[in-house]
Amino acid sequence: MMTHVMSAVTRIKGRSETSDPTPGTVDEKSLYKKRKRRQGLRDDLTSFWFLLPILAVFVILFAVPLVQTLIYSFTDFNGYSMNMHYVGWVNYQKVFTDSSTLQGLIFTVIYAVLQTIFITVIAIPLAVTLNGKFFGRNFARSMFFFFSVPSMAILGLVWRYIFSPMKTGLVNSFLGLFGIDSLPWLSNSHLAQGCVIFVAVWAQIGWHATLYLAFLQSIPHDLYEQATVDGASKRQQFVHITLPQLVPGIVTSTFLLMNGGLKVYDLPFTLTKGGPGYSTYTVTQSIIQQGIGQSQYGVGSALAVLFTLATAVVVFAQMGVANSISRRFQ
Amino acid sequence: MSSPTISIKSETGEKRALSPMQKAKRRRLIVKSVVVLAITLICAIPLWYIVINTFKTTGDMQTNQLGFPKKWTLANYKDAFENIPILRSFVNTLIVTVFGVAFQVLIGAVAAYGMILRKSVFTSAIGAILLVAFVVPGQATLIPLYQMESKAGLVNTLAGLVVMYLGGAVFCYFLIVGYMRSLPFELIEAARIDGAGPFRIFWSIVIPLIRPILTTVVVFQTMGTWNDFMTANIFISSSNLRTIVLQVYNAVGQFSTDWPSFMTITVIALLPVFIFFILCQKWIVSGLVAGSVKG
Amino acid sequence: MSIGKAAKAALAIIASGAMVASMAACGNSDSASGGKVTLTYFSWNNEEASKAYVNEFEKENPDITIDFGSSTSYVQTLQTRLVGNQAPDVFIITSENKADLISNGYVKDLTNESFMKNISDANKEFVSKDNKVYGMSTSSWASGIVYNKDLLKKVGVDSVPTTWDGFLALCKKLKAAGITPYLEANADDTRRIQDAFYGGILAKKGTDLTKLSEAKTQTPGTDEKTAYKAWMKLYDQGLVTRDTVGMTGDDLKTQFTGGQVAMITDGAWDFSTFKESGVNWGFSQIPAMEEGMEQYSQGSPSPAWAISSKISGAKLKAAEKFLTFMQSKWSLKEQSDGGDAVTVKGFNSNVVDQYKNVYEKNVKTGKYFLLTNFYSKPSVLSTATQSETQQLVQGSITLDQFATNVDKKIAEAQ
Repeated sequence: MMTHVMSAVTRIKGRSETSDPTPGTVDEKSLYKKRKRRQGLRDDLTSFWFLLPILAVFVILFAVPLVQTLIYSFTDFNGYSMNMHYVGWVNYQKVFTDSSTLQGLIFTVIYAVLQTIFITVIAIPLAVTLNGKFFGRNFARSMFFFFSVPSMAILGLVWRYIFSPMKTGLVNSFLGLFGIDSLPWLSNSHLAQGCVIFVAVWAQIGWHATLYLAFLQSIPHDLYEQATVDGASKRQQFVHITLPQLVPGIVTSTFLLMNGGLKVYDLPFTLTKGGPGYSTYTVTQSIIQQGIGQSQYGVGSALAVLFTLATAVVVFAQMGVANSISRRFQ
Repeated sequence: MSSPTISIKSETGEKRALSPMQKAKRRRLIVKSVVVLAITLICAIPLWYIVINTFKTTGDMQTNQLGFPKKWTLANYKDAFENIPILRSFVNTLIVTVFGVAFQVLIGAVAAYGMILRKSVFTSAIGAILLVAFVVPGQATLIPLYQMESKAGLVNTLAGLVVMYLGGAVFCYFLIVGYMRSLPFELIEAARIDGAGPFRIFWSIVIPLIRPILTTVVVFQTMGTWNDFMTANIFISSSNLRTIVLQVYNAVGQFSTDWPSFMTITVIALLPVFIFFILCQKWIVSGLVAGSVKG
Repeated sequence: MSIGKAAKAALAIIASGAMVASMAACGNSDSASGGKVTLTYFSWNNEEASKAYVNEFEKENPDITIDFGSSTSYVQTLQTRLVGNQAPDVFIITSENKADLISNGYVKDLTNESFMKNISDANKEFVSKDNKVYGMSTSSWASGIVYNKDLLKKVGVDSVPTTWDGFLALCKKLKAAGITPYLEANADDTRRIQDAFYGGILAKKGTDLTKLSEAKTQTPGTDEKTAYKAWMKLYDQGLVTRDTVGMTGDDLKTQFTGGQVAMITDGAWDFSTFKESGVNWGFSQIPAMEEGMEQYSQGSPSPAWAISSKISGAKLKAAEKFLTFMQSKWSLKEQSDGGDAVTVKGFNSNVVDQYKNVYEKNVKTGKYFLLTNFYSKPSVLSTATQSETQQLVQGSITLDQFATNVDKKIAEAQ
């Protein structure tokens, strides 16, 4: 009964070892096709059963609340009383009258883009380094991963202490050791923005390096051996073997980073509370502020709807580009 | 199978007679180790900062932030264990994490399997729709979700919290389906020819093959669920149902924060996650079967 | 065989689901057991601060159990629960949410309850609408200048001046002596001095404060401009570092207890920290903006306890019992010992020596002012003034821009 499975396994193994795909015999192939056709409808049904749980999750936890938000965005819902009225597009007109929302949008985009770039640029070499051999490798791997373990909300509070603009702040007292003057870390708008992005990079780099590490280890070792024989330098190997093989990993990682970055909330909220001024204010903070602080849940919902659409466009476009790149490499 | 580790061992094993070239190589290895470890330690300062300050008094912490305590004290830990029902909170966290993650990963894996089982307009449409779940900002759907759970009587129950965490299934699905696509479909076809049902194929062939990505996903979701504050904070109102992370935030007052106690509970709350990670580390990054099945 | 395995898996899933359900149920079951009443109490103070009251109340009322909850994002969490039909039985009503809670009918009218008899008028006024009182506030708070006696002595001064010019002169003196004169927490706690000044201005003009929130067009930014202008002298004259923009209340405390700053703005809630620190500290009124004005303080009645309008019967009885308990001698003494300035009639608050001055002159007389108490949309106002003040201190906007920006925010939120 298991013979076919076994033969398939050996066939695949053989393929990976010789890197010369040997297709199945003609007999087997036509057999597949016949069965496939007959199975078409049945497959649709089995697929459906397997997809049912996630569809339920999607409908209950995402679609219905999103529709609800869409409905709220056309009402004067104040977030307290369910007695609301239809108000048309008023809330959508109101969304951008709030100047802080625009500032929040700007920082959110800067944050998402920069965190994606920095983390990708640092995590890949880090993963390559951690994949190589050196003493204390397991320790280093664990440490980098540990940075991503505590939640952002906790890390924000701790880093706030570290980046305190006072002389006694951790970074400033360290600079003081070298006779360098204190820097106004969280008091200067640009420095505060830098601090938020720095902490984001620090906290997530380990997890993304781990992700890349997993992909690195799936690169067949013989590719490197072959390249070494051909006299390729380490650099050339990195550019021509490692990077192309990492493309699926980059697609996944940048998708998660971009999407997570656009929806960032915890970190700027605990580290800077959106300040100084509105320099580290985010769209999600604006959604909360309008919906709850200003009792204009309708306006908050309208912003949420627009923002969801915008995020979808950005993330899907990014996916499209990434996929077309990855297809070129395969 | 896991060729990298084997090759490393064989190389380091040959250190009997060192040629000048090998010596240079060794020196480079040492330099690299020192540099990497130094960077690691610098990056780890915030973690050190959290841990070392739990052994200090408030006054000691304010005057001496990074150094060893002037006088080691376990008072913070004693206080934490005396004032907070830590065991109860751990049990709560454990329940929601275990069930939350198990269901998330199961639903995600099953969905990924259903997705690759058949490529049709129907499944591609579902794939696209599922991506929508990613872009919805959680802040926007909090009130509708709360109202829904309230109507279902799930608010302020651990089961209700687990239901909320099921949303993570979409993330699991996303990572798993990417991995599954790189698997050879012939294996499944072959099993099907042998007459194995789709469930059997899933359990005995697909699951073992995707174990590496499953582990990664489980670890990641465990961290996320264990650490969750926002959802638990809204949905749990009874003190005896509080998760451990809610206890951490209890030390953050409305006006001022009790730093040593905040950090102590943070350490207590995260310790199990660290242990969990150390235990799983072997599976997370090494021994990935991927290399052998991927062309 | 395959069916067997699948069935086993399905069974396992169902069983584990049932387990979660049963665990959840066991967490919930105590709400109705044995004729005991469970009262849900959602507070904005954390458990450590509330525990003593809850324990004592349960001891005095063995047939009532309190299910306590609190949250760092109190207003938001309460809102979600209210609109999700999960109102706690007893909760806190305060400046940020009082208008919404009252106008949407979430809180019970307490005007004629027996436990409201001794509550002071100022505290009643704080949570009233149309002559009906919706909360029980038992204390008030007022901020002031916490100063380091030893550092002030170094420049030959032993008390904080009573006028702003005197204060600025003292700052200059301290600065010249190489001592950081003054710091404030503009990262999370702006407007302490400005509100005090504005309170003094309004008192001099004799403005009826209750009319402020009824004004058709609200211009808090423009209204408070004079006060801001005087306060900005701290920065215009270079007496205080503009880095206060990134400083939190916690930062200030650290600096002060470390003896690194002579004066900060703070209040009674941090007195225990100062006591423990061993610093020789004093607490003084905020100086008057000009000669001839009274020394006002930034302050307000404290957040009040409210009863949900949705409960009745045994639960309502229990809730009333709880509020009665919260203004009993025992509770008031506990609050007073904890640093709260109790204002209930017939109770003599025994405040620490350092607090006596501010307590007698500001708290008891009601000479305090909090901008957000007297304008509509308090939540918008407090975030707007915070962000705009930070930019003002940074020097990125002018005072005029500050005023127009704040007023614009308020106009948008109407």
